[in-house]
Amino acid sequence: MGEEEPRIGVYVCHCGLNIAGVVDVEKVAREAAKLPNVVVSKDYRYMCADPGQEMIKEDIKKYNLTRVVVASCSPRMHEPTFRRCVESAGLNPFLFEMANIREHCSWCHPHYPEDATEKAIDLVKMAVAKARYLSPLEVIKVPVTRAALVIGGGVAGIHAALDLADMGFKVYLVERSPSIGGRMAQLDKTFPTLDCSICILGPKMVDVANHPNIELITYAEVKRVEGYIGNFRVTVVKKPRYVLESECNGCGECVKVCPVEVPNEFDENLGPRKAIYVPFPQAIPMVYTIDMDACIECYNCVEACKEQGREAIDFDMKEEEIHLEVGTIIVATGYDLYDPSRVRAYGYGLYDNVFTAIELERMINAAGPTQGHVIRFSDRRTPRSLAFITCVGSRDVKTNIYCSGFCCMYTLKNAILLKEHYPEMQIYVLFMDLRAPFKGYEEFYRRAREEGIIFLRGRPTELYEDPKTKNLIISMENLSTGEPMDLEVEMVVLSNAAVPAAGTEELSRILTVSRDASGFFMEAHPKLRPIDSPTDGVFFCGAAQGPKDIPYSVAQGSAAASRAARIMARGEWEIEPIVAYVDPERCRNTKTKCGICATKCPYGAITVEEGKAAVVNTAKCHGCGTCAADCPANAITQMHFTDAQIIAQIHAALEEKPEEKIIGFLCNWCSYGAADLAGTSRMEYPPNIRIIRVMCSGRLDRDFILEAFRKGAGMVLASGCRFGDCHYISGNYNAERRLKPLFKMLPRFGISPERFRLEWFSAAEAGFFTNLVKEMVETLKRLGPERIREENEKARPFLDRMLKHIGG
Amino acid sequence: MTWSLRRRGRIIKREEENRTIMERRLLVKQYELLLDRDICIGCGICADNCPKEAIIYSPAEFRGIRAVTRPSIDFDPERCVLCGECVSLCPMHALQMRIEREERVPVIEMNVFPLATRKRW
Repeated sequence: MGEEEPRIGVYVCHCGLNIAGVVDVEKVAREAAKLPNVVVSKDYRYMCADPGQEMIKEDIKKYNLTRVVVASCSPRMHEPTFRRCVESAGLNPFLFEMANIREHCSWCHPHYPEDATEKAIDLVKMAVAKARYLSPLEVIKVPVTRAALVIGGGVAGIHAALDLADMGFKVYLVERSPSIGGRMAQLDKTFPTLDCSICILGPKMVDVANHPNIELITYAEVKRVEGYIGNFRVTVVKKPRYVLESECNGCGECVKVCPVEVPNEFDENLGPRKAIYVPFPQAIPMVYTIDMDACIECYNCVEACKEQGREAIDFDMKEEEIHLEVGTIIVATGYDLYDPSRVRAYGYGLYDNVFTAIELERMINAAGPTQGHVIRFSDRRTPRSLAFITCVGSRDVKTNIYCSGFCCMYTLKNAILLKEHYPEMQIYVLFMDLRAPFKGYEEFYRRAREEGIIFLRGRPTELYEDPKTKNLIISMENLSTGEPMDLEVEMVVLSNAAVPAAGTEELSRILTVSRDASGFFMEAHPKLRPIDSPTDGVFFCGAAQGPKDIPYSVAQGSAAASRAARIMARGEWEIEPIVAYVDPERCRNTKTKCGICATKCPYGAITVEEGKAAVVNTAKCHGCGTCAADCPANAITQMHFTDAQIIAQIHAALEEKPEEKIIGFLCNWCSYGAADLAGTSRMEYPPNIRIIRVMCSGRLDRDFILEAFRKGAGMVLASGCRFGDCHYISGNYNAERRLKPLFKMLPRFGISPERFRLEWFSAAEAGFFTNLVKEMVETLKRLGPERIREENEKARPFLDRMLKHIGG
Repeated sequence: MTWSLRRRGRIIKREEENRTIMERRLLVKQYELLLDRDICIGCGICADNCPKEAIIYSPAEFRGIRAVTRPSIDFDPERCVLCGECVSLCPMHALQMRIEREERVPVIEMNVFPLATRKRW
């Protein structure tokens, strides 16, 4: 704390009726005014609106405020807004603190207005307590490398890469398969205009290949990403294709002499390809690849290549590591299709004539394995009747709950295409609901109906094969008539859902970004930051973030490019100064060999030399606070989340009726996010919990939990991201290692171990969080305040001795 | 038959009387590799020369000095690429390859003779 007493202004937001409808905001403001150091306390309809911000700015000057506390929504929402506001009034932006009385209070406790008001007062009290200990910080400026990495060369990645390259930035486009193009390259036509898919994508792919600013790295995967916004160091592993990209001119003579045929993945394994191949004729780069799993090393291709006067084939090629330095990363890894053989009732893989939609797509494509003929597996005859089954692997609690979005439309498209090719064919679409919400889509649906396609509402329960004719009999309840019915068709096509692409999980770990409950990448904010990842400088576009059709993916590709350019155009970027600082006076390493902090830092940001105090490299430090919690001498401080600030919050929260309260330490990225989501989703839980935000669970010192018990807390929750999802790589592992022993330690002091909970959940798991709080409150009630007080009394002498250094 | 074996493009191995049949069915092309166990003497030439090491050789089992089983071969459908090398080498003509029901041997058609044993030399 500075020499002068802080002068705090408190502003309580009504947020229309979002807060004021439940919480008595005037009472909160009145109570806040009574707190020590609070000079002014007001409530207002919308603090974030211009007049609200003006009010703060005026007050800072009028009352000479040195701290500002706003009680409104989540800091994940408006902290930057208010920081800018106080900064423009001449106050350091880090002298601002926020109390989350909307997501964590009014939205979650609408039926307990009195309790909610009490909780809001506590939350304000905690924020004020922290505000007293805030110190001004200067933002850290880092240089930005003016190059971007785009992961995934589908239609979204291609557009992101082209836009950035046109703006003049260097772009590295990394694609896992031998060619760019992605899913769109596989499609025949696109809805609702029936444009030929590869005809509109092909030229874009050529643009990528020819663009001077784009470096295309195909048949390669991102293995490691280090660094931070503006300064990422990326390791890409390029698989050997055994053909020199510089030499191969794509003549295809090698293919003619290759003796090995294997199924072509690009054709969904319906037709063959050779062991040396390009996946499709328009592939970019137009370079052949040898599939070593299939190659028998006869060297016929080498001979054929020599006859053409070239030596493009190199069997000694090795895996190659490429190191890139980029400022931003765009993830456009797309989707995979749900494996329908998992829905056994539909018999995919068991019955010959059950196909998936993408298989039909390859069949109906003139460049596909059947040259555009739709034929049955059993007899290679064009079926006279065909049924589409929608929502396979989506909208079902047994598979995936989400709606895959584009399946209805591609089903309609395939139905219309089939009707064009085979006007005599009886086509049925068996659907639960048909969703056609965007421009031109409903018209397309109407067209399908007008063209004589039969729509039957109902979810097929079972499907079986006539062993003689290999026709399929579908049992379903026709929901329009309410009658059960059997439908015999010659072919069935399953419209299967989009699922996260293989490798999404691994990539999420490499980039330390989280995934939602369905496994797709999760955006920083569902409404206002749909393109940004929670990691600064990393963006998503296309189906990597959730199923999307082509125009949506293209729009997101361009959006991601502009988000990335926003950072790179400036040439430098400001990062939050919430870094760690080592007090050289207190660091033990000057006297004995310590270095614990350096071993715990997930980013290698701390250097320890013998006999000298440890030093934090601020540009490398991400501000998780793990080192601060692990330092045995308490010599490390995490700025803006100091021990003093957190302990002040604990004390403020437990001033009154502590035995009824739960102190919850939540990490900013996952568990705090889940608590926010619980609010946004209006999930209700008992108002006993008081949440303290830390950047990472790795920050959680054992002392914080013990201090909470010493001050009489009923229960304590420590939580963070699920293992493997930590935004600081290993913070939650460190937290677990440090906090797990408490379960053994607490009973020795006389505290029931069930009063401490250590839980890991993602930002999407709002339901988990609400259930957890409910469960904890049950425990609290079961134990009863008497017993809790008794236990706390018993433990106090031990705790007092252990926490002498904290005082109070 | 297990479900996973029925995925598109996989080679499916089945036994039929004295024959082992390896079949790959694609929508537009069908491949078969047949082994007649009555003819096969278990010389193991195919196993030694298979470029994908997809043939598993089982030597004869002895009880004392008497052989109780003949040496035999078996296929690994995960490794086999249906090149026909084994067919071209079999001295007993116990192996046969068919593409679209027609007797064809790709390595002979393409006039190649890869040497898997090269790796061991």
